Amino acid sequence: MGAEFIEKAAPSFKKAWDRARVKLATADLFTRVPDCAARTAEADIIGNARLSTGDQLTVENKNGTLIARRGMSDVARFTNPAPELVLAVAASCGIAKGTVQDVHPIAGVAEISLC
Amino acid sequence: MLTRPDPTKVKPQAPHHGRNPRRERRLWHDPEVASAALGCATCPEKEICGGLRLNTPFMDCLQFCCGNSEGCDRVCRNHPDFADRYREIGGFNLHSVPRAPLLNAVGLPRLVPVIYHPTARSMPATAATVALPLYRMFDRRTGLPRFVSRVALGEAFGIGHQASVMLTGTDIDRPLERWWGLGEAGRRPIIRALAAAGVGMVTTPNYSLFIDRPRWDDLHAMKRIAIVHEEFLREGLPAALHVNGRTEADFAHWIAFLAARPEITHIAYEFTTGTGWSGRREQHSAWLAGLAQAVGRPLHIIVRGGTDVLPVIARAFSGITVLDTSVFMKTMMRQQAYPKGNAALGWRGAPTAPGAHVDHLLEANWQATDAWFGDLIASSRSVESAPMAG
Repeated sequence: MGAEFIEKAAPSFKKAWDRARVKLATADLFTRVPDCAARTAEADIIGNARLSTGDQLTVENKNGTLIARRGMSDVARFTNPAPELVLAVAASCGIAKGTVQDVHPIAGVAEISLC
Repeated sequence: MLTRPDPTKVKPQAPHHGRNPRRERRLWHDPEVASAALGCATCPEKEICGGLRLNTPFMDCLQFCCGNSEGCDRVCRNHPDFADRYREIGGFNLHSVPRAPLLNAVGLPRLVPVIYHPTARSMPATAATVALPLYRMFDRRTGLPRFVSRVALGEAFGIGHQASVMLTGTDIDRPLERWWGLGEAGRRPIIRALAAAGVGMVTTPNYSLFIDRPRWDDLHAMKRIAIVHEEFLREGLPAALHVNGRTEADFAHWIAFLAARPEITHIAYEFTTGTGWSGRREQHSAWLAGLAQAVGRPLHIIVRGGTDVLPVIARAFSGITVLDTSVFMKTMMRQQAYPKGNAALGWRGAPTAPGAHVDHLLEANWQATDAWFGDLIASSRSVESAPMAG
């Protein structure tokens, strides 16, 4: 419609999806049926970040390392992800959805599944 | 007992353009603001976004996050669907858009009326080139093309068989989102049908850049514009890229994108939303002029609105075409154009008998507007029927 105006000034609308483009840009590993286990990896919790089971994160490739982010903050760093997981993220525009599956506070480790 | 309201006590409604844009002004990116927002420094997208400088207390654009992802469609790092939105467009970087072929476009005149329907007319519009709404070209329920021949198109809109046809992709957001929601597989047959029906040019959908949404939403909108532009060119339909932007970084990205792609010969812009506010349209026209200079090759611009800044834009670009909606809309409202001094065009009532056609009124309004616009442009520089770049 335009630029430089507040949302309320425009007639309401819902942003559409081009689902075919999303599917095309998502690696097979993230879309095929095999369970989550193959797509779950351990990540070190960064600093004082607090993670809980079920938290939704964004996992991105940062200088060759997979980093989990919440908003703009880095919250976890994947220590030794399977090569196919790294490749799948790279093949998915360098980004994946992460879900915290388990948290081990004493070890400072979280298990995060990717899709 | 019902009583009639006292007209002296009814609060007058301020006209839309008379509203004070105080809320908007605080949220406009101002390159003159000395310091960038603190939060921008740690943002992963700082390089591509460039950061925001606002005249209001501001940490980062997560301030514009609604905090409730249920029902929210914003592209935002707090949203669980952020990764899918990012994948949908293949990342925010414009350069990942595939290259397109260079097409030979038809010549465009300096002023083109937008025609919406054939109602109240018995004759086709006389303008040599007319513009039609892009989103009327497909069925909103089935997504199938509505017109497969030039004859059908002419009959549906009341335009002559000799008239050149272009389409405008500028509209409210709902139809723009319908176009995106069709998916590439749905858009492709429509574009082919349009080319087969003799459409010579289309301006891309101008996905919105809101000032109260996180910047990722802007970057997503800009990338969508670039993607659909490439689709038009790939299917053989010349298209003008709508270079929507709201910061100097946005325009720098468009400059780099255009400079690397000689197949882009036309761009589009509109000054009818926030870009048309006093104090803001000057900034946008300056950005556009800078773009024209930096790209370093002739570009033709197709504009909607922004009469005040047209001389600046006309000087900067090798060709300019203005899409005019007022001739058609004012005619339908039985208004007649007249010269109002040197700088403006006035409108006065021209009632017709019930059921009467408005062909002559449309023709008179078209002639008056075209003459006035010709004078306006001639005062800044000579712009004739612009030859297409390339």
